[in-house]
Amino acid sequence: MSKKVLEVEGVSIGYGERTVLENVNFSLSAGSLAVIIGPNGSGKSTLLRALTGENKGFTGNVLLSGESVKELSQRNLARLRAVVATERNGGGALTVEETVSIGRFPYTGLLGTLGTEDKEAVRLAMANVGIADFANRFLGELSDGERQKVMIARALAQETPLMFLDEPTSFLDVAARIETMRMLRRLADAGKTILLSTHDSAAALAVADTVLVLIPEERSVICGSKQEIIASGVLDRVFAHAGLRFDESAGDFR
Amino acid sequence: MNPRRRHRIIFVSLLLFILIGTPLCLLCGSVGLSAAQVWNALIAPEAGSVETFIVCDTRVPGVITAILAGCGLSLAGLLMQTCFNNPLAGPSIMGISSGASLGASLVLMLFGGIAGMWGGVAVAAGAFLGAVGVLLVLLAFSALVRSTDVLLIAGILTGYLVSSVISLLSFFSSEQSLHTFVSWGLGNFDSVDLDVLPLFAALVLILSIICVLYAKSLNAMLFGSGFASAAGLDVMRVRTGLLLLSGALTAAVTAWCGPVAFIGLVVPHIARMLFRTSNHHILIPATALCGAATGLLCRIISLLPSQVYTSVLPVNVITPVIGVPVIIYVLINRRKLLYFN
Repeated sequence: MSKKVLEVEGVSIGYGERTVLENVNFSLSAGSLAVIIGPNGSGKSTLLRALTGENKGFTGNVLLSGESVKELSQRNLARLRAVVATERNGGGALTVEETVSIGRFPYTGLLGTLGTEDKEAVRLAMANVGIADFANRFLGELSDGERQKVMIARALAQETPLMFLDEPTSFLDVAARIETMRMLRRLADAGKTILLSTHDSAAALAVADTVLVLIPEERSVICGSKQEIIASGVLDRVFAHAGLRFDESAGDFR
Repeated sequence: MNPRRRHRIIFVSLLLFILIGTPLCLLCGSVGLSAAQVWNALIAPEAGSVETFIVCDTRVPGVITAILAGCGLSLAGLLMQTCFNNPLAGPSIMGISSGASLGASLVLMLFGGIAGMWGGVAVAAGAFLGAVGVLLVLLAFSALVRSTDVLLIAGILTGYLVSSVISLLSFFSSEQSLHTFVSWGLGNFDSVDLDVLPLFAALVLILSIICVLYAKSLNAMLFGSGFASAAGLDVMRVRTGLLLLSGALTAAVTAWCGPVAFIGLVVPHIARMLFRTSNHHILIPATALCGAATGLLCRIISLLPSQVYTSVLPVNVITPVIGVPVIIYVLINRRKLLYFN
């Protein structure tokens, strides 16, 4: 049995009096690629913020490699999970290599000087996502797709067993979306556990092995393999209000 | 051009400017001294000699103060701009200079002057307490609100409030106290004498060196606090440290030189444009050096009229002339400037 990298036990989360999700339970093993799917406002980002430890105001328990996110310091948290969020701005005058180097933050000392191991981790991360050729280009000169690759490389340089991505394809064109999803599949096949939230259900389902469907009416999360989720018809039920049905042969909603 | 080569060339050019500008500055002043007289006063100072007094007790502290003040204010501005993710943040914009002014004005108006070392120290302490007071207000706000933009607005509003208290104090102060305060408020690099210089220099240098320790955190903060936190940074702790450090730098300079405007706001932009980087491992020494050069330039310009009119121009007459065009250029070209993207 492969090692559990993420375990979510009876998590309930909300804002003030309003509960968004109740009694969420699931776990992810090493090397799985899971995708969170749900309509707008169903709590995808809320759940992700709880799992990453950004918001610790929830009941229940989230364990990263067996350790509770509520008890981990920021530094130790950053050694167990990396986060790729949707920020499109900032650091325009940093080179690609300098940006990827930020991934070594939890491992370097006060001055942030990179050691041999750190430099190797940065080099490998850039090679893994295919950006080694433009290591010296500025972030502000890159396309959205290239910038997203840099952010993924930065998360890889963090050398964590688990990577969270919040809407990783939202600003990308079709080609870049497919390329990003394929790259994430490749990284998962190499042993990285990946959990991403997305509106791009078709592209995500094409590469995912585990699917988490958020059902806003029930404030619940259904977790299963891609085949189980599609066969259960839960996708049709969740998106029925928008008049959508999941076409299994096309792998997309119609 | 290779970025490292570019950085090296600009670093050396700035150092050369400072190395050439400093002796030039020693030649400027209301009393005409030849290069030989200045040189002799420096290498063989004579007690009681007029030349020695002018060069060693007046001009040397003046030029060193200008360099250190430029360096300190520029670093304070850089820390604030990155901390608040806002290119228009700076000690004067955030109300910290106003806080320092309020503290200094209380001392100046209550005790009537800044003569002597302990007078200067009292003003410095007042300025520091004033700056820390505003910082505490900002820190209280930062605990309540996560948005750095809201915090920036809170700083601006606090600055207005503090300025109104200063106006009230001025209204009720004596003519002599008011004159002292107004002169101090115009900014000058001549208040630091040879006795105070080691204290002033030690303060600014130690605080500047501490800035280097924040380079790693500042790089992570370039992408916002959410990113920095996910990368492993304790954002609240670092933000508090940055606010205290920038406040202490502003207070140290403001105490002796007055609320010098624009340097803290403008110089970090000059450094980013010259060095073409947002990497704080490079940007912190680059900003310190650009700030030192800007302080020196302001000093040289302020001394030019003294050749004819025997008086020195206030610093705050010069800094807007340098600062405003740079800020207008930055605002107009922000889409083209890499560090805005």
